[in-house]
Amino acid sequence: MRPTRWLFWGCTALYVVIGLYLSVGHGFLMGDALSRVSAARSVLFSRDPHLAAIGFVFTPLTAVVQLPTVLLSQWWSGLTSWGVTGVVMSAPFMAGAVVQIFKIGTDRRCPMWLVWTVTALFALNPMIVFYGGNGMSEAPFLLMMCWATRRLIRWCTTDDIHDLVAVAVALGLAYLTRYDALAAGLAVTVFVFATTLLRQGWKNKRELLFPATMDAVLVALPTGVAFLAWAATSWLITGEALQQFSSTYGNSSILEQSGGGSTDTSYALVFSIAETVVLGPVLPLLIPIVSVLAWRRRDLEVVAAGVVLASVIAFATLSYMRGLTFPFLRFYICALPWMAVLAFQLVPAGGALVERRHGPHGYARRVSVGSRSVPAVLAVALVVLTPVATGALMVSPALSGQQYALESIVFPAPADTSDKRRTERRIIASFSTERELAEHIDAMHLPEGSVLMDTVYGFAVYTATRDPRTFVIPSDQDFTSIVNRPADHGVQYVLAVPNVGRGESDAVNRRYPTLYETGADIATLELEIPNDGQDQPTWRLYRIL
Amino acid sequence: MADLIAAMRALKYPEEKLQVLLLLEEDDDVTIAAADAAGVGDVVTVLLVPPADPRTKPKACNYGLHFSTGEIVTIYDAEDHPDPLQLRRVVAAFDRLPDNTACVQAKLAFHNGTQNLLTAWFTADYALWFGFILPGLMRSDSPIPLGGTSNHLRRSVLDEIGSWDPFNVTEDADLGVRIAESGYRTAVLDSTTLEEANSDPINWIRQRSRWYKGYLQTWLVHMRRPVGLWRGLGAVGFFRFTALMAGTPLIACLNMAFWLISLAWIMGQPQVIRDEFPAYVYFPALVSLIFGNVAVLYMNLIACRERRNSALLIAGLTTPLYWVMMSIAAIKGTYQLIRNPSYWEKTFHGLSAPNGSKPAESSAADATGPTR
Repeated sequence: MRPTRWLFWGCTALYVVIGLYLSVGHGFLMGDALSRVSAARSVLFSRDPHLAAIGFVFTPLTAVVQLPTVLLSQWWSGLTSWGVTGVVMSAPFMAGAVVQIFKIGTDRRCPMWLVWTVTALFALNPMIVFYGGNGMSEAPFLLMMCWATRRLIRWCTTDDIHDLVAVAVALGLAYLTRYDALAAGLAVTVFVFATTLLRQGWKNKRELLFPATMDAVLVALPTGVAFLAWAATSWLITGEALQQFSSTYGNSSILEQSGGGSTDTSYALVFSIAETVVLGPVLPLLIPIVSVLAWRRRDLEVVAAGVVLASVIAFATLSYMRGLTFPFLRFYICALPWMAVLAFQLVPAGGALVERRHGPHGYARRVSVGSRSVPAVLAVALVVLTPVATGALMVSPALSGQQYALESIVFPAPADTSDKRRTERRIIASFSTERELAEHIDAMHLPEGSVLMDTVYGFAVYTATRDPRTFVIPSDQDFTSIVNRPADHGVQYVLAVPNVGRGESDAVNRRYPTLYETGADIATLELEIPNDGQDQPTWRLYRIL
Repeated sequence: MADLIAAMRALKYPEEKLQVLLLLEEDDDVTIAAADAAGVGDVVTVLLVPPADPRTKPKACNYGLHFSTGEIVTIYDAEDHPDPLQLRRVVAAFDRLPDNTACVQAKLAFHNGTQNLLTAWFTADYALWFGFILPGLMRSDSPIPLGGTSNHLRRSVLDEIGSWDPFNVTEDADLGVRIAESGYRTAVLDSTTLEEANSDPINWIRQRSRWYKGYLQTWLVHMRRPVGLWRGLGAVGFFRFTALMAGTPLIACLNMAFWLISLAWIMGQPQVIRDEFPAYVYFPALVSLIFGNVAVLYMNLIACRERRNSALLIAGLTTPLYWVMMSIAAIKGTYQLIRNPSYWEKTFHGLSAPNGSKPAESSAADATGPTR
């Protein structure tokens, strides 16, 4: 078996095991990951199974990929309640990203010991391990970004259409995973256009713009089509083209409802730089050193990698500075592969690349003169401790709001009753109440369509229940008429959340703003369920009158 | 005529081994007079084809074959500009290729690709077909519809499997299938013949409708004995033959219907369509609509880039409009197959002439030559 196969399956196994240990073992689940599972489940097993139930607020790849495994949840609902389908999705994607990092090293003809060391440091970085096993969209996104980076680096030398098309497809798929990919798509298009234009020279004026424009169009088309097709499909089915921005469930609304966006621009900039440094502790050293070396070596490959990966970091920084998104460490995750690639790029490139068909501006890469082992040793010396540094900073609530609770799993301290530890335990306990709630409702043996709820908070109930058909959810096409006259449609219960914060976007609250407080004259309080989880609502189960 | 003489003079091949026959119809006085006036006789042997039905190019080619003496027979259209070294390359290719190679097809491209949008589409179309799809088909051992011109055939094979079907309006496609069916192979040669792309939409539709009609005709002719064809081509070859010969024109016809359905759906979402497209049809159809169409458009762009002809970018991006013309041509061709199967839609050539000279009507048989 080739080493990349070992690497892929080894990493997949590692991430699956750690993912299951965190989810099934400790119940530590990420809300966004679980809500993708819920979307996939509603496509297959809701009262009204249809593909459009996948939802249009997030691009669909993460949920679509889980459809086959979610199909098995009809026999074991633990697959969805513990987010196992998400773990099984993210692990191979992250392993794929590791393989791409490995191949970037071998493509550059770095010494094999350096390739293996940097790949291992990347693969074992706590952030990579965690996101390889938690079912979030970061894993597929990182694979696409690393794939695009590797192929764009190759394209600089080969000008091979196969490399260019691979970059384009990777960026298109990346858009279907996370919106951030648009930034990379734009940056890569400009880079490709400028590169071909400069290589073309001024020799043929009439033709001048065509080859550069052609390359730019080829690299941008898949992302453009993914963007337009997704917007058009959303518009055809929901009447809104860009729900992420316009819908009450989108980021803009969440920020409005629950706060969290930045108000101070310079603070936001400092914060973004800090987040980038948490993930790439030696980036402040690597970027200037490699830039100078690249200038001296006339090494375009360094620019290519920066264009793909730094554009995403820049996009996250800009949108946080403009108050459009959240202070999440994971938005800066591209700093990790960037650091790995820069470590390779300390060593001069050498040797020919295996290519399918040489392009018009391809050239044979010169075998570099001079030492390769000195920069290789320097590279390892720089990055060897970075996983430890990242791991140490990941337990900081200020820098790593979504990850710091891992501390209580990795270094449990039952005797420690500090506020921080208590919050960590509450974060880990998130969604346990929803699982119990689902169990309670399952035990009531209600007929189909008898519980009304919105999945904005209810997704964790929806993934945990043994019978999703009990619930009426917003993706059901008859949802509006049912929410207007619940009793007439056989609804017996409503699951309500407080009409504050994100609860304001809950469709039931929007129709009956006083339901949670008073029952809104349509229902009577049956049960109140205080929540063990951090930032999770106290549920109320109302019985319809 | 001057172009023809120049193109034939340009061919680099030992004169004593080259025989060029110019086939003209005996009653085509205008062309004969023009040929005489230009002194064509110095370069080629003019052969007058008796005016008898069917008045098609394959009939003329068959007639010309009786007078040819060479081991390798080549068909060129009168307005072609073949690569001067093409004939030598063909001989070298036949030497190198296995003995069962019956035909070597040169790549075709256009010299007037930038004349207007239609010629640009046509050039992009050929870039994909001759640059990528035909070489791919060649590797897969499936029947290759020959390109109408610049196909170089072994005389001995023609004698064995028969020459052109005079009633078929795409005799080249028919012969390609017959070659594959008889266990012979076709190879694609990396040498380009420049043709003149049709620059007038009506003229283009006439030409393309003839091709579609011919493809269907070829499919029908060979399907008369489906079992024998299956044995000759094998299961995969049989499938490819059907997909290519019947699929190409029929899908081009159906496209029109589906476009109209899509348009109706976007305009008013009528219930009839809703009933006919349940989710398990609708979603695969939506995926095909988006990814299928974009993939073909993308391949067109790639082909243009790889043929170093990035100036066709705009044509590549607007290809869907070209598909509409293809669909119209397919509907016309299919209708004509039923009403007038062996009628040869003549293509006018010379529309690209820069001095604005009057277009010359090409005869049904343009030229067979050189035979060696």
